Amino acid sequence: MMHVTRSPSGRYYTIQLNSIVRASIRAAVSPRVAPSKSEGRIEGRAALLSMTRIILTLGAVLLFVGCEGEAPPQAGTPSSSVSIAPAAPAPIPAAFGTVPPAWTLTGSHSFYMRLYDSSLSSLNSSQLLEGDIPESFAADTDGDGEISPSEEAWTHAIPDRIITAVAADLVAQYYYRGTKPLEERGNDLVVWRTNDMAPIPTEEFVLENTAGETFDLNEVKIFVREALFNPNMGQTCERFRPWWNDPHEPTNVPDSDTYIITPFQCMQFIDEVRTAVDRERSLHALRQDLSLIAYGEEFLWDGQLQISPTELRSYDLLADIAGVGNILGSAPFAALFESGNQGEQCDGPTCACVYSQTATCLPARQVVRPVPACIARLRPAATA
Amino acid sequence: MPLTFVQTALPTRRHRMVVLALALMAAGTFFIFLTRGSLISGPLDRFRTCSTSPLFQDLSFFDLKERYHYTMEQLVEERMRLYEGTTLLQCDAKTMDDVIPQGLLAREIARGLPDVPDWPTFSYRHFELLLHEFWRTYDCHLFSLRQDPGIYYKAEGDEDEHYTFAQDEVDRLQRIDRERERARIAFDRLISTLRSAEEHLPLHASLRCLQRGAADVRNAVGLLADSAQCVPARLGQPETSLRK
Repeated sequence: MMHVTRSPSGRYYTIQLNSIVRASIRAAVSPRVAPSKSEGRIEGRAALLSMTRIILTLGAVLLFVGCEGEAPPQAGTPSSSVSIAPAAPAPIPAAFGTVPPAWTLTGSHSFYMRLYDSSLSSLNSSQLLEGDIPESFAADTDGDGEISPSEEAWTHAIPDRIITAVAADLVAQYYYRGTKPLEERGNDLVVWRTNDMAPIPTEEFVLENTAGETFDLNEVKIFVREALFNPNMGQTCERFRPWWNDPHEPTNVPDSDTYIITPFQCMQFIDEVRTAVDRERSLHALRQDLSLIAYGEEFLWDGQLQISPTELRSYDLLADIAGVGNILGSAPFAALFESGNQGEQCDGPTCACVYSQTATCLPARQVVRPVPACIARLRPAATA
Repeated sequence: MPLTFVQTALPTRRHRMVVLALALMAAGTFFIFLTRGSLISGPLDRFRTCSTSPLFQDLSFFDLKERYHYTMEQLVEERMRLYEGTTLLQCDAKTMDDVIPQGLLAREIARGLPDVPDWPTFSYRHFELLLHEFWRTYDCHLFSLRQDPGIYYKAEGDEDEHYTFAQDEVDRLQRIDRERERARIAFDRLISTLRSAEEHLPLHASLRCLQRGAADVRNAVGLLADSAQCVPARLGQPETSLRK
């Protein structure tokens, strides 16, 4: 009846109609001489039929044209010859993407790379690889007095503060000294860690039962690490007795042979530990996200209020970078984070200029904003 | 008497009107069908297919990571120079698009991304779009490497991918998944941090231009004062005429 072909440029269609359709169109559109009444009725009916046929034909053509190209592309199928190829992007200049040889993924401490480094803390623990996050020390997980390469790798995989937090949660009910576990005050439940709300140093975190027997928190930390990275779960419970698993008080069992835990109990307990680590990591990531948003606002207003172009990247930016470093707890700022200075800027004992590569630390471009206490701390680092 | 039906098939005016009305309704419906994309929610090509990108063509996995993160770092650093005020603004331009420079690297990368408007449409306002498209291109490239081991091993220079061990395959998938996740997190955090600065960038530029304008006025007044000092005293008196 008809044949539709597309022009090479793809801009228009050619419709070839056969003789029947051509006659119908001719009948419909050709001027008619005054017919007789009966002739007029017959011609009118033929014209109406022709018009209906034309409308249906055009409708089909339009439907074909309209729907063509909307079918979802099938994977692996080359496009048809009539489809319009998208315009090719401009060629990329050769200079684009040339990475300097000295630049490395782990060596750069720029703002963006800090964000990239911090993404490790938001990864699911199953996606972590050994040696992801550098730590200041390695743990002797099997207690043989030596740090083996695998122990070193396990120690580095998850920040120590996460492990410590989970371990502390596991034994929190046994820590009596200087702690009021829970106090109800009005409608509020208040948890007191110490009387003066100061953090408890790990080395002074002494655990003991009612009989006066003491226990070591490091054993709990080792267990948490082992539970995360040792694929042999049964071995973990054999080597590290979860003495803190008693609902009433820790039980000191001197000989590991006498300690009884079923494989099912062990697996259940290790699962709980893994869940706790993931929860702690999620909490940490959320804290980082919130801090970064607050940092963005602060960064902006630091720049807006002091319009002088030289100020933003001098002391302010240095302090801000220190702030971000603390928030993210990465690289050179890990020490500040460990000291509990996160979120604070330049009011701790070791402030600023830990970021030694910053040109601002050089004497020639030193502090613009007068913060005497900070200037004093910046100078020795700059000269060093 | 035989039953006969009166055949009145001849088209009357009513018939013609009904056919015409039906045709118009069909045409209207079809017009809506054709333009539904624009009427409802924008162009239909918003769902795009992932493929490898010429930006990262033939790069090994390690080089790919380095190129992407280095470029992102440089883009952000270039933008931060704008925030801090060391990038020169074109304060005498008429529109804010011309006042705030787009950034050389940003413009160069925008040329390689089909979904980011090219010059002269590309302006400072497209920075977040540029970051998003650049990340999306990287993510799509990684996804393609994940789906097609052949491309991956070819880029790594290992043509014998048919003889890889199962553990190698597991490692490959884990490496790519992990990198995709990390790049996504870094991008999300970057955008949430830069959002405020981007939103207030025109205000920031206006303030800086105002400051520069004030300095210009101050300098002009200073020059005027200097020249007034040099004018003979009598020239300032109203009764003084130049003809005398």
